[in-house]
Amino acid sequence: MGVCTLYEELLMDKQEILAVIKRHIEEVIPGIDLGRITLETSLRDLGANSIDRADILIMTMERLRLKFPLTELAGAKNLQGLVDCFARKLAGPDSG
Amino acid sequence: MMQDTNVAQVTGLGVVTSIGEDVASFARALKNGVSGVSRREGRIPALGGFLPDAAFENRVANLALPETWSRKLLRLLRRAPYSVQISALACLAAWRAAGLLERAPIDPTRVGVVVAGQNISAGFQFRAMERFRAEPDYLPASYGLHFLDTDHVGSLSELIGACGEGCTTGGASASGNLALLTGLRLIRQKLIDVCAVVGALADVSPVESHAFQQMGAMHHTDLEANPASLCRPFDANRAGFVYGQGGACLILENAALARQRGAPDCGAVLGGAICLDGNRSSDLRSAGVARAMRGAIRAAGVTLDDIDYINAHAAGSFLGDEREVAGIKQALDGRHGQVWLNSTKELTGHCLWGAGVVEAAAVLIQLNEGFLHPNPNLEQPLDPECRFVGPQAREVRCRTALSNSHGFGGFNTSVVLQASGRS
Repeated sequence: MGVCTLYEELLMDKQEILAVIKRHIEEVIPGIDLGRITLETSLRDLGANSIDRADILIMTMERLRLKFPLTELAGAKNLQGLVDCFARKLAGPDSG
Repeated sequence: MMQDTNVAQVTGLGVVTSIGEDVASFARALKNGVSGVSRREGRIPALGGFLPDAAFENRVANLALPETWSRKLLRLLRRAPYSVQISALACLAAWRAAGLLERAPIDPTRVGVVVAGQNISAGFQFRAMERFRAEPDYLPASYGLHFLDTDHVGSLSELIGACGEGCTTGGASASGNLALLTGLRLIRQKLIDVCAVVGALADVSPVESHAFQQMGAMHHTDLEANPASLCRPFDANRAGFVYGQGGACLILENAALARQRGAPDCGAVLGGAICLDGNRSSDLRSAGVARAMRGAIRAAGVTLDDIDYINAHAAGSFLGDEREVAGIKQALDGRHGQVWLNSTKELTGHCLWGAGVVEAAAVLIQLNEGFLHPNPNLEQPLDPECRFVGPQAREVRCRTALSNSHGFGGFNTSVVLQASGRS
């Protein structure tokens, strides 16, 4: 699959971005109850410590082929905030 | 007889080696002289006592721990370096054997963790470096924890809830004995009551492996020969050490407190010695070997006559084995015909930083079960006067043993171990 196609698909659907984040949460926190992972929860709520959180976000960036400083995600209050931020980054610098 | 205050009782053992991933199968393999050495094409080194390929999840499941412990292990270590995972499995097996898994009746601030080794996860670092060169931006944050040798200490501390003293001990291939003696000293000084002493699996990278071969220390893979025949401690046809993957853990405890809580008795660490040699190189020197052995006997409060058996360092290196045997003869002062001698490295491969702890476990198992394991490749002993166990296992009940470990840079060490049933 071409990278651009991937981006477009993801752009279409924030659910896809959430799915990527979820998969990495599961990888970093094995055995987590997936039902607990909702848009309103934060990584911290889910029991991820600071290093877990950084790993989850870096793995997500890698999957989405994005590169930007982690600090830009610091303002996200919950998974919704993270999804929105990743979606903006995928859309490119001009999309606000 | 030594005072209880100078002795550490061993209350639990855990081993994860190529010849057995639990104490019972390890003991069986020792008795039968099973070699774990095989050849793996495409791997560097290609020759070694390799652990079977198995996912961490499967190894955790095989431990059959209570559900909360399995979950804890996975949560803490599923993404950890291989060697840290193996340390945790060995540690938890020993912790359970010591009866400490269920609501430990001990104060966490009196529990320590000492892990043997330096540059432990070199293979892990090598692989991370390869990825980093290609793609630095996606380096996991956790690499900042995982590359440290002390990740073993931190992980085990969190796993068993140890809040006393902790450290790693670096002494090249003598690291394991350094760890045992560090644990013993912490207990003797009453700084802690319980210590998990762990020999870490040495995850060497292709770089170290190649350097060991360039030095002439490590066996060059011989494609024609049966891999199990290539590690030949004490034999005239020895041609270098064979790498071994293995980790082990001994739970050491203040002997009086261990007795008080009715802890299992797997034997005791009586004492030992660490002697440098004024020599940074890799060549073992007989005088240093003898000094360490005599020092160990003195420190343990036993006499030469008490020593029944020596688990030699003997890695199958050409010069090293010869010098060690000469040192042993020097230390035993004429008794070398009466003291049994074998080398566990022929079976497990040389577990490097973890070797001293793996071999201490092998010694205690042999002492407690009344046998001495064979060295099936010992066909032409390099010295006819020594009492090698040789190619067949012996049913011998020994009581007190020395375990030698020597490391590059002049680390000479020897530890005195005793069978269970001291009191």
